[in-house]
Amino acid sequence: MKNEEKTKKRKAKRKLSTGLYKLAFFYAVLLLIIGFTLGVVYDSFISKGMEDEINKIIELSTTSEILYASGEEFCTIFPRTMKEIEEQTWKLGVMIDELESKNRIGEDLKLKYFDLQVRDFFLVKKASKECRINPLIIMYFYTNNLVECEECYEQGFELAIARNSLLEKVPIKIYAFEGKTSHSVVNYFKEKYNISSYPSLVFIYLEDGEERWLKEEGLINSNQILEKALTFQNASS
Amino acid sequence: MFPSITEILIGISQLLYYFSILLLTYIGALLLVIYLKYFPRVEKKEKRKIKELPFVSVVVPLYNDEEEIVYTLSSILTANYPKEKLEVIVVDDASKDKSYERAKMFEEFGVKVIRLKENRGAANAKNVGIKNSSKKAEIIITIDSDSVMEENAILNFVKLFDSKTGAISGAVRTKKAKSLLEKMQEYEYDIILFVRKIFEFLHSIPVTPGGMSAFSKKALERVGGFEEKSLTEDQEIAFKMHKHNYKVKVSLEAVSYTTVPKTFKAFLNQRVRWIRGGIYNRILHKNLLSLKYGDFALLGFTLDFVYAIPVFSAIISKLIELTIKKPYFFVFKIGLIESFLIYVDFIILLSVFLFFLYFYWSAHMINVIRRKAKAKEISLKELPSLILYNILYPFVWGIIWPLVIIKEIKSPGYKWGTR
Repeated sequence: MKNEEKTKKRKAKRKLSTGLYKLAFFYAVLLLIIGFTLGVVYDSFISKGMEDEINKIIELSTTSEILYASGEEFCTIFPRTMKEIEEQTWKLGVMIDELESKNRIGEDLKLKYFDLQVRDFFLVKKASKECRINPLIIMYFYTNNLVECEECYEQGFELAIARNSLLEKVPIKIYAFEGKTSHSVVNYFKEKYNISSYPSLVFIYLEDGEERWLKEEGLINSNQILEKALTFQNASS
Repeated sequence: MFPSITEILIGISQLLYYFSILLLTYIGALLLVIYLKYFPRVEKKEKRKIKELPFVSVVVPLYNDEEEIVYTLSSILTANYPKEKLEVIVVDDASKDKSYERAKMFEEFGVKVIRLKENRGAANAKNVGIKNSSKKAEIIITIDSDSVMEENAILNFVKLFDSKTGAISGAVRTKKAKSLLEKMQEYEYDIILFVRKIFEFLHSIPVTPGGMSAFSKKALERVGGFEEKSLTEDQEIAFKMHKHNYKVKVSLEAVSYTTVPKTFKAFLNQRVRWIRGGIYNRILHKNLLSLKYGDFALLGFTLDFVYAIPVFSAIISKLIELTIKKPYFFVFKIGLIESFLIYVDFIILLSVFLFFLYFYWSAHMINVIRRKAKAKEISLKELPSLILYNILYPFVWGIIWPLVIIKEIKSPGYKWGTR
């Protein structure tokens, strides 16, 4: 009896401070909400920045269209403008692609970007005939759904490597379109070039003054892209 | 249709990342709640509870420490405690250097030196010391042979003992840091000390460090002494104290200074040993993971061990992502600012927010410990190393776990004196 009392006396009280764990859960949720809110604000800030950038390029493109319509100095100025537009749209494209894959931008921004690309595509085609610039045009159709297109990420990467090498050698324009978009002109392109699987690349070039195109389905590496690009460029010139 | 390897890897990477972020956020929030509730109590002066000073035996396990043992013994002999109530026992665990001879020099000051024929580890040496302690001894203090105690350490220990107290962890700090690695460990020791102190209020102290701890001799005998198979016997003994329902406390005023690893390799070896010891102890005392042990089951037993896992998971997740995803900046040539803009997401923003919170928090914890040890508080000069500590240390812990796994597979077993 005495021993039992002694043991009781030396026993430390053990309890579970449930309140603390609940409060910690509340704090954790609060922290996540703070982080998420910061993220939303930050993403809307990026979206706004990209939208402004798209508008600036559209302005540049509009100026070129006005110049084309008036026929004044268009062919002198356009090659420089074309290069500038290419660089800007490329950067925007990479950013949009990455942010879209993480669901961080809305559909509107992507459609606006496709608008910009479509507008530029037609302007470049007009300029090709008018000014004999003959840039090599590559249309890249992809989808961000990894299940449907396992090789799309790799293809984007190979295209980027090829672009880095080609930029120094030939005038080049790359247009990247999400295959599952609701954009009507992009869907028209898909029909025209018979796009049914992803990734798909369409090389558009001139041969004997005639526009021709070649479609490649499935992953093709940067060397193959370079080889084709240079062949088509030779045919054009 | 079966998923491809890329899909599986991306899936694993994402899962690990979100798992680690959620877990880290919860752990951070839990520590914050405990901290906010208990930190005012940490700064309070530890009150004396005893009427008469008990007889104290200080046990020093010794192995190949000829340089340090002299300072260790000198610090004990000059401690502010009645000499007639103090004995010092050195147990030399078959050292190969002159440690034994150095310790023998102190026999003329009343130090008892025992030499073991065979090297059997720190736990065995401590047990031999306890067995050879005076029958009058009520309190056993163990101190590593590379640590020195402050003059009031023994007094500050004994005043905290009561009938429910089985063990008291000392305020083990690092000796003066010379290199960046030592500085990092200095911060780590102080922060851990603070966290242990707030865990005391929840009966959740998971370790009584070898650097210096005090035990009730009765409690030690009741729990069966130190576990000789454990790589971290100082943790295993604390687990046993909890199992036998003894209180385990921390004294921030019983200060000792210990030697920390000077090279990164030695540091990693030590940490690998700690984790492996932690795994062994948890398997041995798995029944402590029961709610009947209250907060200890969740905090001392689980949280103290698992907090490195989410860090490890996050690093693995990012490594997987890097092997799949190529760097935008170099290949896609989109510029630094654009790369930065797309890589930063809400999780990174949250991490940055938490980093600043933790930075302030860690500085506060270190300062409290330094005030208690009457040391200088963090100066502006120290800020870069403290920032570096907060950035680098999670990564260091992140790589220790894979090392533990490799070590376990390659070569089980250990030798002590791995600092």
